[in-house]
Amino acid sequence: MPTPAYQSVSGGARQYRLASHPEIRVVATDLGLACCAVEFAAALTRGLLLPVADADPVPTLHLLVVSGTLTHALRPSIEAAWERLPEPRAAMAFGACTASGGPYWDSYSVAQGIDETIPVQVYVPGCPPRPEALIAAILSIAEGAADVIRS
Amino acid sequence: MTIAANSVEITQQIEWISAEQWRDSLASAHRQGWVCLDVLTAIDRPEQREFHVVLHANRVDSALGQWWGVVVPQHDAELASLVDVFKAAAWHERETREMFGITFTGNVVSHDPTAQGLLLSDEAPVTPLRKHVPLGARVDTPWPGNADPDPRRSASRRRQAPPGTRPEWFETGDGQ
Amino acid sequence: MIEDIAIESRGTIKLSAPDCTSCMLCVRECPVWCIEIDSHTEQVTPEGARRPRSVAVLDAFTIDWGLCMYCGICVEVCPFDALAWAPSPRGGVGEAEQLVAGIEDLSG
Repeated sequence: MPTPAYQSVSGGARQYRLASHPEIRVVATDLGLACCAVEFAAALTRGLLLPVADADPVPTLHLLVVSGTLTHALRPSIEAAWERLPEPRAAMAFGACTASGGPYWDSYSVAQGIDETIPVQVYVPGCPPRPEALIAAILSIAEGAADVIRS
Repeated sequence: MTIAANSVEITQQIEWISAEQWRDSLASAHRQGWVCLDVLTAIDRPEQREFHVVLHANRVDSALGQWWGVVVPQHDAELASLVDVFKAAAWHERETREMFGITFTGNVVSHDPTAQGLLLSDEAPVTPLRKHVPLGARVDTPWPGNADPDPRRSASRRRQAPPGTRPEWFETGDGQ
Repeated sequence: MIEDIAIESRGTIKLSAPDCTSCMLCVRECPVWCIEIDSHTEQVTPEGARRPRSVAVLDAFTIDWGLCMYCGICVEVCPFDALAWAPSPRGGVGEAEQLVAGIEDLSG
């Protein structure tokens, strides 16, 4: 039984607001698989993404951020994390590994991106992307530039 | 540690041991304080038809680490296990067997052909870290560098192997 | 949106298409094979020259930003300095295909 991968470096699903746009409330889970997780963490430590004490019962968005290299072995865990995500929801492919496998695209053990496993609403290029790129991508989904999945 | 990808010279200090002395030497090192096994793995040297099995261990009384190495011939890829010296060797030797096909005498799981794969799925290639095992994605993907529009340039120089590949992967009729 | 980024930051790579001779060095040296070039040669006769010479004409230059690992080998290897780092990073896109950038995008 694979260990649930949704226990992330940031401690699981948590509601955040964007420092630049405080009205946007995102319940984000970072699946910190590899180096890109450090940039997600940097967005927190630099205060670009702020945990909210008073969680809004109707957040703008439930967001799954996949940051790092996806191996074939971990695909079921990613799928499970997406399945559990309430709507309105979106998945972000953060960094080259999640878009294509990145530098490891040629490996027998690496999935060439996450979008064969879960639907992806936004792809953020970078190796790794800057924390500001994370914020800009969250903004683009929250403001409707990318398709959010709502029933 | 610097191991140049295509050069055979390993530039950091490695204490080279003979295969016969491998277990005794590391047992002695362990008694002398090199107690923390960091990594035990192998390097495939196909041109020399040998493996370098390398081990890195650390002390706990200081920040020192040390490499040891042994040459193992590929036609007889077996080495004494270190499980009774370093408990962690059980995992590393099993991984090395899975990735390179080297067996470790005395590591029961390493020798058990029915033991399930530690890391590799059923779909993964056998001994994938051996250099003759191609990276399938690189072989199957057309290299953009082949599309050189200048016929003089591509004809007059030796055909360059794409980065990340070995020429033998492309030899016709040779799937391995 | 992003302020105070160091000028030498590896935000993205820019192409100066007029400087590109389609020598293919960047394509051949890229470790992840993310650059593609399409070009053809044309015969041009410079004024006063006795015979025509062959010049490369760049038809397409793409970088797949989904693969790029920002190693900078292409920038270093270009003999004509047609590739350069720019500090501001590229934004996210909604479709994977949009990660492949062409000449206009890379020149902007």
